[in-house]
Amino acid sequence: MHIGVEYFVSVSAIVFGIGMFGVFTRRSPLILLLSVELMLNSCNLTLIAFSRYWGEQSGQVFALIVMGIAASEVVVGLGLVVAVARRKAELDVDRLTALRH
Amino acid sequence: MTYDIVFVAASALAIASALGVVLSVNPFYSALSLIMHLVSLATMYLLLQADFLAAAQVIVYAGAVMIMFLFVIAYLGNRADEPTRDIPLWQLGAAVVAGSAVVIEIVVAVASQAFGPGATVTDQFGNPSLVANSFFSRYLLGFEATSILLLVAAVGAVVLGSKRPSPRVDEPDAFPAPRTQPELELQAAVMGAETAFPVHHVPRKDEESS
Amino acid sequence: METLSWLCLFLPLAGVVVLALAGNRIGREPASWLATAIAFASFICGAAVFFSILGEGESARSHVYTLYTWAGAHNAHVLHVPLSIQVDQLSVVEMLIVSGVGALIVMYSIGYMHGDPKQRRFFAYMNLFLFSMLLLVMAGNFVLLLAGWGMVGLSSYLLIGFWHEQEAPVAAAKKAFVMNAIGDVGIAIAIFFMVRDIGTTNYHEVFTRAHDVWPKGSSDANWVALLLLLGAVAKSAQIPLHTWLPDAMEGPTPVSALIHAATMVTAGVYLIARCHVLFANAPNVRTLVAVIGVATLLMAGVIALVQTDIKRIIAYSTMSQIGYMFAAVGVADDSAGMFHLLSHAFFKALLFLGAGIVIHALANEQDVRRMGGLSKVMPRTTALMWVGTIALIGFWPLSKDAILEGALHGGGTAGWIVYVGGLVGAAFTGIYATRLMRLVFYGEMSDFAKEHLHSGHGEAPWTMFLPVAVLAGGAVLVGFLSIGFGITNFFGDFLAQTAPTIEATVPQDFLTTALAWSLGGAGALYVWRLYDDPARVAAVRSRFQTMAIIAEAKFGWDELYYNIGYRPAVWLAVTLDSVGERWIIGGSLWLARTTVGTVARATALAQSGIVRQYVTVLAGGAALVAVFFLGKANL
Repeated sequence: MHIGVEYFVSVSAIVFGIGMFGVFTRRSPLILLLSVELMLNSCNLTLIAFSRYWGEQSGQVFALIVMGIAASEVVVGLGLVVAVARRKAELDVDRLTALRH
Repeated sequence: MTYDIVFVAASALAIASALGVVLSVNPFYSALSLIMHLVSLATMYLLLQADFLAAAQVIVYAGAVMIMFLFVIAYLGNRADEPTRDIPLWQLGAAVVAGSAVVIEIVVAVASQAFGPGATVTDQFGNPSLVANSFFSRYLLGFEATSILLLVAAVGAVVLGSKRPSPRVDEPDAFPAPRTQPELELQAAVMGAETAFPVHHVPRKDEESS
Repeated sequence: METLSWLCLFLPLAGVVVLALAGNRIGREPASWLATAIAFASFICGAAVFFSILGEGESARSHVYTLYTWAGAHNAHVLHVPLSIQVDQLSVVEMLIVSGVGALIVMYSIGYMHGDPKQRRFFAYMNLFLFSMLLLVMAGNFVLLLAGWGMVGLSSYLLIGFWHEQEAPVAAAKKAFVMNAIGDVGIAIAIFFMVRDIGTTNYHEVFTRAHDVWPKGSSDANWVALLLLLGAVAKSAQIPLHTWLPDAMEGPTPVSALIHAATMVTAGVYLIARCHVLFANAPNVRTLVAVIGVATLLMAGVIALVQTDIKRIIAYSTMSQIGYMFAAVGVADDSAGMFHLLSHAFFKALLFLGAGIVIHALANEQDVRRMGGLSKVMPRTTALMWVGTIALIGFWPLSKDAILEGALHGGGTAGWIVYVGGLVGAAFTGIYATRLMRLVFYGEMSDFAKEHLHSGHGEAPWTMFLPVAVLAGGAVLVGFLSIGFGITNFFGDFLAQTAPTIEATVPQDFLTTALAWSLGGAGALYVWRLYDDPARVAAVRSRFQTMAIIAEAKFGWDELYYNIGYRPAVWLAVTLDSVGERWIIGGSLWLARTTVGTVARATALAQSGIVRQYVTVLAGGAALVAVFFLGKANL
């Protein structure tokens, strides 16, 4: 059977769901970041699938940019994690609540 | 035929490694699972004729970003482990429901459409030169913006990673209150600073001796 | 002549500006002399205009000069207000009075205000007043008249309250200004009538078209005249808006002389004379004018009998004499009213300035009971004051007689009221005027006076004496302008076109003159002998006990206004503050504050700092958005 675009998108959806589950559930900021990476990659997959479907380059370009953004986000996120660890605070998102009203 | 087999294998691997990321207790295993996930995704990109992107994925994502992750996990050592308090069951259940809802929504939406075979593309479709053409002509603004974004991230990383300069010994400290961990007691520090300054009391007119 | 007219008007304004800008860079004496010189220069211009008008023929004597169009120059559909002056017989007479008497009084002030720390400000204000009054009398349209009207009110306020560190002058100034403002409203609404019905406020158009748009005796005509009368009554201190004039005596004496005797308070008479066409168009209102005049002249005369402050005696006398003028214009004898205005300007200013010399010599004492016997130390002042008193009682220059004659012969029923009231008033005048002279200048010198008379300061410096002498001379000479001894009434003829008169049917009514003279003289002689014996004074007072009490209470007008005006206003203010301010405004503020606070606190609960909560909400929102879009795409 022909693997159409819908299969790729379904896989992407499943990975997205798993990533969401991870974001809701895990309490370590590091794992949180990894889950967010999962979600980002699933979006990339969708983009590229549809890019192939329509025959447009723009999907790939978009995916490339998303990769760049994900990289920067990881940089800053890890910097935060390291900074928190250096202050000897516990790496638990439920505890790190200083930015509140 | 090969196409289908590769697709099934790659997707299975992707889903399995995703589960591995989310469900592992050891953060090191989570990172490794993610690397595998990225590689399987790269395979799928190849299936979709996005050659350049597949290569970029492996080099940038798996090769650089994940290495950073691994460095940090190594630095953190024990502290990278999950705290021992458990998540209440209802939260787990809610998360599962939420995730499934999203998945089902998308799958249903996509499956109910009648997608055709897709456009016919040339061999050159995922070629770096074609991607670059697009990138530097039509999406030049996006390119420039992304470069600025990377600069911002780099600066942010440097700032986050730098040590705060220690106060010079000969300078009198403006805050007579003792230095505590500001992130944890941010509010207390803010409130304390207000009373830490010596306040000049301006006498009211009726308080002055007339 | 046009340039001279404009110069006459604007020279005092230039004086104000120069004095105001120079501030204390200019010395005190130079500032006073500068102001005086400007006033005299203005008078010279006015005199030149007068002589050139004399040289013109009867019909050509009315000139309207326009400087530019202040409003409505480029649009034909809006009100057209030019900055124009009307120079005709009536206004030139007023110009001469204002600038001439004004210049003399400013010169007098050099001596009177010498040493006052704010001397320069005084002279600037005096020049401002001269400019405003000239603007009022020279205006060629009602809007400009109103501008001058308001500005003289302002100058009066500034000058009454000149010594503003004390409470009484400030309160008096406020009272004067507020009552004048009531009159301003009257004139403004009259202007509205004119704009609506005639389309312009220029004198010429209004007076020629008045009886077309407002038929004689119609309610519109009555309203216009009544509103103008309101303004005149307020400015001229007639019943019912008269209570500010005695209080205005808190100002320096030159101010009382210039503003509240010679010029400003006569502006009402000028207005009625100028608008005689409008008043002829509303005969009932004109009768009201006469009634108000008679009532005021009698009431003020009675009150003046019991006053003990020298300036207030003269102030009530002013009120009474203006009553005579109102009575005159009320029976359509405008030129007789103007003639009395002219002679009154001379002798009343004379009386005030003489009183000022007395006050100055006695270190600002104004109570007549502490004076006495001053004729021995200041004979010249006494003589000049006698000239003024004789003029006031009416022996010469016969201006009062002219009013009475005109009323008798041409005034109808109102004329009889004026005649009888005027004669009774003449008796009162004789009494209070002679009483003033008797108490101040004759009899035993009081101990206070003995202590306080500076030996060399008895008579005034020449800068104060000369104007008083000139005014006395003027009072005598002015009589010749209107001798009715069978010789032509120069003044009446001169004014005839602009201020009609009632021609006497007999060349000279000797009977009226005799009656007036005898009543006035009898009163004078009576009071002269009365004060020889203090016991008799007390006896007379107890005989007229009720009347004396009413007179001393000034007929209760102040108390009336206090109760119907001031107290309700204060009550309203307090109520608005306690109810409105506290509950309504304060309440709405409290409501706003509480609402914002509550909502803010509620929404701040979303900021818990817990990342997973944020993510959850975010995902939930995203899901909703996705459902929305999918729904739109009909899946």
